[in-house]
Amino acid sequence: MKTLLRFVQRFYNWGLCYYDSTRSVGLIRIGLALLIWSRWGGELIFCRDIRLSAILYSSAFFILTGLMCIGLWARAASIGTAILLFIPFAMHRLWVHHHTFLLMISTLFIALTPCDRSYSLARWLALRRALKSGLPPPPEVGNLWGLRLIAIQLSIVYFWTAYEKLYWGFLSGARLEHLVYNYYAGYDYASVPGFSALCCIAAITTVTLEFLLSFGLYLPKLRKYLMPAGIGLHALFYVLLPIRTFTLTMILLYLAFIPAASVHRFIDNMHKGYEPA
Amino acid sequence: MTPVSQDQSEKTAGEAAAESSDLSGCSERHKLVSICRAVAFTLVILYIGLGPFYRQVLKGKGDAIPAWQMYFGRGIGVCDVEFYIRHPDGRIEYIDHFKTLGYDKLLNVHHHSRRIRWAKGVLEVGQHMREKVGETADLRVNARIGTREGWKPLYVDKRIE
Repeated sequence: MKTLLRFVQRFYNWGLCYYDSTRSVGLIRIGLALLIWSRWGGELIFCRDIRLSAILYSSAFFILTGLMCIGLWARAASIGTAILLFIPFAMHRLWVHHHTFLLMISTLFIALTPCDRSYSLARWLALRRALKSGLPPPPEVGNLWGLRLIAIQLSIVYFWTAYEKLYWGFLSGARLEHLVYNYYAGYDYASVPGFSALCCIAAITTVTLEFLLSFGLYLPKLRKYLMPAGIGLHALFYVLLPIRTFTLTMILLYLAFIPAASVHRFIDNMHKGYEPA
Repeated sequence: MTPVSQDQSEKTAGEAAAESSDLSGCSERHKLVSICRAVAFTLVILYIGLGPFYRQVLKGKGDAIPAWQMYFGRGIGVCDVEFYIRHPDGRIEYIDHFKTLGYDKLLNVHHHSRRIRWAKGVLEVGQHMREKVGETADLRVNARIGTREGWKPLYVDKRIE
């Protein structure tokens, strides 16, 4: 019982008492806004649908995502964006897809963090106010529990997508062969020596890597190997299959696994020695 | 401001909680925020964690419940075909249908136009092949179809009429 309580306490501290630099969440906020534009911007421009309801929906979309991107009232704008994306998702069965769900839920999670304290117009205004009143700059620190939720969400994505592949059709490589025949039709792949074996190896590697990514990204020792491997895997999917924003969303959200202090320090080090002209 | 490490941040959170307990008003608010956060955290984890279990293990329905079944049905029904002519002397001449039908010249078109799907698709391509090779040739096809379990034979030595 004591062990269980200790575990719950540790999990509580890990998940809900994560006070650290807000630069990671600032970067994720901007990245998500850009990815959301990339996914929906083209579909929601006014000329696509000139009914009043559609124009109002599109206006709200561009205003909220715009505020999210520049970082003004960013938390409210992020919540608004998530709700706006959820309405067609839940009510009209529109955009029901894993990549849209990931974008929507990550936007909601980022709104649970003080994502406007770094790289934002709000930050710039706060700095200006501090400068005028002779106060020190406001801290770029806050409770990043939303970042923990993003990390958990990514683990769940990896775990369940790997679980879904645990059947002979996939592990034998046949399902990958089907994808090749589906997307790259125009050549007799069966005549290529070793094609089936290659697909089998690729299938087993993919499942193994996905299971490793679902747990290993929390462990610093494994993270330094798994993160490049994961990015490589996603990059490969991106160039081979019509995956659209999913790859870039996953890679962006990897920031949730890197300690926020390290991200802050890394950015500081990048700017070291810079002398303004 | 230099960010704090995770251990330090946990201490900071603890200290902050201790300090705030001195101020009863702040303490109440802090407690309420912490409780709300813990409840929200738990509910969200249940939603994102148990949702896939419900959809993928229990095979439940519901679009608003997340499931991670990427490319679940993609490629199912796609066919791998092999056309050939059986000559009267027993000789078998394999035909590259991609070349015969000019598919190799259409490599820049959408994959929907190049792939062959389901039995109907095989027979349609078979008809085009029949037009190319003529009525007299004994045109035959071997085809296998992509299913979730793997490749399944669709036609074995089927004559295209």
